[in-house]
Amino acid sequence: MTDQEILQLFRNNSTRDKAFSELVKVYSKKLYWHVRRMVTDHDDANDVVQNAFIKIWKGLPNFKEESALYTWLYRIASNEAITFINLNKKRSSVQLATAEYDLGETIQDEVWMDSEAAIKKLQLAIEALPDKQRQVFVMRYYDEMKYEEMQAILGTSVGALKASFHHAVKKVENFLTVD
Amino acid sequence: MNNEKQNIENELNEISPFLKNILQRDEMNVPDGYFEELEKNILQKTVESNKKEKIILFKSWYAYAVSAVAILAITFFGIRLLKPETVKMGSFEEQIASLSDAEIETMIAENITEIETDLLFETEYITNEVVEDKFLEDVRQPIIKNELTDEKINSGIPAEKIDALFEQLDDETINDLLNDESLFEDLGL
Repeated sequence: MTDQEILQLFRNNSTRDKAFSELVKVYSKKLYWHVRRMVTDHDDANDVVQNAFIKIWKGLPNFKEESALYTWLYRIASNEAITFINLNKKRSSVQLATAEYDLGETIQDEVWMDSEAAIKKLQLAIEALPDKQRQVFVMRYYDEMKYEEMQAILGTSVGALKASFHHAVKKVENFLTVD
Repeated sequence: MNNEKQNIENELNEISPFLKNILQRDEMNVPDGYFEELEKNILQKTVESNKKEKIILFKSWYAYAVSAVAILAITFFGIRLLKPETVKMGSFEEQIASLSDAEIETMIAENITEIETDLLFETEYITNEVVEDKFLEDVRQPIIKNELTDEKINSGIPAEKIDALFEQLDDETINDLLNDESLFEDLGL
């Protein structure tokens, strides 16, 4: 079912529930992975994505179709993730400091790239990015979005998005290679 | 690999080949059956929750309606059964309010024996002054004019009427009448 068909069904009171069920079926997995890459932890992602869908359910009757449904859904989920991250920033910074200390030895190891610890450090490096760069990095690399799609969601020019992605990649690389 | 995926790989390789190799190993997992459970949870918190709210709203509306009817019924019958006088008084008050003073005086004069005098006193539609005036008219004047014979007393002014009038007079009014020198002068006493 296309986004347009879902919206048409949703406008009819008798098929509204069915339309939303279809929307959840199409987008819950995609939005979960977007949120998961943003917040890293599964339980956190589970809470955030459910909160995002509650907001989508409440906001959908007022959706004006000034943007694509897909864009609007990602915007809500991404903002919900950023809100969650900012609320938990203090906790995250403590985790990050601990992880950096614990992984200090691992980074010197030749086989570190194969270890779970290295992957964990990569995730911490992404978490450490500023909000906007983290959004851009996740959308570009993990969600495989075109810059034009990201522009519609984030309201930022393509040029600025490319620059953000470049900075984000460099920061993550630096986080992983410099002890 | 689709075109955009290839574009992203190329772009990343240009910026950081090191990071490209690490990212390819980065996989995250979810518990088995998680996405089916996620869909169910989302629908419970949205679509299903909305249905429950509607039912609760309907139930609360129905409950409020039944409660309102019950309260009205209890109030109505309670007033009727427990305070019938109040209802009568209200109605009586409205009727009295629509009458002129002359009509009220006529009504009292013509129906004083038929109307419950206690009730009139309670509602303050009849006062000692009214009774006094009535007394003066029915009793004092005939006395003054020496027209009040036993026959007239017996026929014109029923004894119970006089008794009723005197019963409604307080001691102070009776004393005032007794001390009314002009009355005694008129009577030649």
